[in-house]
Amino acid sequence: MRFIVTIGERELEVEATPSNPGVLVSRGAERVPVRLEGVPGSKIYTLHVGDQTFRVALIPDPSPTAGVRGVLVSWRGYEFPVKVERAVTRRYRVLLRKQPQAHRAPHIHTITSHMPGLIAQIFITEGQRVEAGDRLWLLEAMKMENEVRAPVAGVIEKLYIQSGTPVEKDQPICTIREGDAP
Amino acid sequence: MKGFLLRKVLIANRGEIARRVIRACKELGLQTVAVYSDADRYALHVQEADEAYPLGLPPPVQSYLRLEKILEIAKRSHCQAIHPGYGFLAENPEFAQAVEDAGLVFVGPTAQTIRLLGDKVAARQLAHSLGIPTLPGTFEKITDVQTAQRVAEQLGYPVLIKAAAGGGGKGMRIVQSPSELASALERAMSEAYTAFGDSSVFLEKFIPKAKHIEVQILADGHGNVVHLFERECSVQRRHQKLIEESPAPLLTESERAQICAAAVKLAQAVGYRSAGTVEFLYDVDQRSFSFLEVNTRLQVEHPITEMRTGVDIVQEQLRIASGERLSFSQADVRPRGHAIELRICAEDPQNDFAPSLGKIIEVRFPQGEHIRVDHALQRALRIWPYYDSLIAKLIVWGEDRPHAIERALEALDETFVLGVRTTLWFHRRALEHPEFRAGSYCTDFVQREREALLSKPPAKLVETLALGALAQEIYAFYRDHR
Repeated sequence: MRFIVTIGERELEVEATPSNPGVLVSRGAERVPVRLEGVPGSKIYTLHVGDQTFRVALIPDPSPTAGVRGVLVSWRGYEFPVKVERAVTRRYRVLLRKQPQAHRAPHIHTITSHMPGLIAQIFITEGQRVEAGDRLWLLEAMKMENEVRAPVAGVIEKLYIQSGTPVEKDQPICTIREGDAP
Repeated sequence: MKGFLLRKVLIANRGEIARRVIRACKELGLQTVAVYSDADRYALHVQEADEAYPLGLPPPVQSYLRLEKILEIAKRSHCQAIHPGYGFLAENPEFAQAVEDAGLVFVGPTAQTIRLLGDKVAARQLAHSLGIPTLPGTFEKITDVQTAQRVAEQLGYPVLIKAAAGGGGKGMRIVQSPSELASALERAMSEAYTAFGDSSVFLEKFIPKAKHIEVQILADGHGNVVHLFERECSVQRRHQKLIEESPAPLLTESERAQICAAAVKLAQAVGYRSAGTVEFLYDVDQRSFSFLEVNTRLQVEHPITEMRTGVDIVQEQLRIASGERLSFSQADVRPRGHAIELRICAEDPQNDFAPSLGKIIEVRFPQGEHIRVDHALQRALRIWPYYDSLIAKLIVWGEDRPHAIERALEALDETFVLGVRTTLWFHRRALEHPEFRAGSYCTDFVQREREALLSKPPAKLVETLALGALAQEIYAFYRDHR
């Protein structure tokens, strides 16, 4: 069976066949036996590749695409996302792929939290005009204060949160309509 | 215990340090009372204490910093003493005073000592008056830009702005040039106010090539002071420590004797009681020491000293709190081998050490002789933004430095903390780095060697590891289609 393994931007196409007790993986002329040992309920595995052995954790990292297995691979604390998909599924998916959705109006910027933390203080209100570089809010994370500034000049269109609110990474905090007041 | 009244102790803290103190209490046959915020309802320190009481909402001001509430719980549960751990109320003189006023024992120095040494400017003056070298800088507090500018000009850039009311890297800013001074001062004062409720700062000459070396002291308040030798803590980011080791590599015997003696002298001068740490900056180019500050509390990195000396610092704190005299003298302290502590933090080193929040999926720690892991992790535990990012301390001992480093690397290999990003990979890179191996690293190590310390495994190896995910998919496919 052919698989496509995606690591970051890189894609590998490999042929894999079950071979008790593991899998025989071939990529080009290379053929290597791969075996995974684990205990039920644990995400930590012993990975044998040829004569090499690694202790890895495989953490489910659900993919929004059906037929694609998303896994966060962790080795010695180094973590990277991997996607695995059957080559045949990929071909169908490419054929069925819809037209890309129309983009949002480019002059409205959604400002998201660059890290998780607490919004300690907000310096803006909805409808307020800001210049690029103006202070927007203080993000407090693990006792460090980070000042967040406006990336563009414009008007605060929506403010989604209040001060004192905990936020996750990439959570939208406000939108700025670029340019002059409407 | 021989002491006069100690039977039950309230631990006004959370996480690994609360567990550490509870363990010491149990070993001394003392009852323990835990306190917790709503976020810590199911935390291990709550489960392990004999009794536990809620403090309030998760933010520290509404829970672990509620001095009166904690006192009330201590009285209601018939405790005779309060151990503050580190952080939170540990160096708050009002708290120490309130505890003593309520007729309880504060496991730490007297309120007077905390107040004196907590004022970093007063501590500088004190060290100076005792003939202990201090860095060029102000002996007065600064609250305005004009004064700061004048002083900075006199000292010459770069200068370091520090909070007058506390340490730990909060409210600290390096200023390279006059144009940066005003905004750095504003941020430092704001951070100092948030962390300590006091925005005043002071200025010191910034030493670029420096090592952070500190001396552990123990004093019984009856005039007996011993030191438990030094620790080097120069692997830092944002002025906060990531790796500590003892002894300090590259320190000569006479330099070691010199700083340990200075630490004892300072402790004697203030009639110190309990455990404390005297911090020094070692100027590598000048080969000279300067006094930095005194931390009037149990330190995060105390375990490496315990591993080398065999002294249980927390038990000693509790014995001293019950009025006992130190049971050993300086000559009895015979450190052995080398100890290293790795502070595993819920942070993403690849993303400028930004906090990583989430839910712990699984943890696995190494085990064996000369390995100690202090943590409070368990499956399904949430890592909150309200508290410190330190989630586990991996401590190892070896007969010498190379053996300790080897053991630390092996211990790292056995460590898994899944569910949040951690500093584990960074720690491995640091231990492998030639500068760390040589022991020549300075406080700028992490910043300067950032690229090497954050370098990823080779692409070929990453591809090999990714085969684990492939194998899992194939196993699942055949299981589903059997």
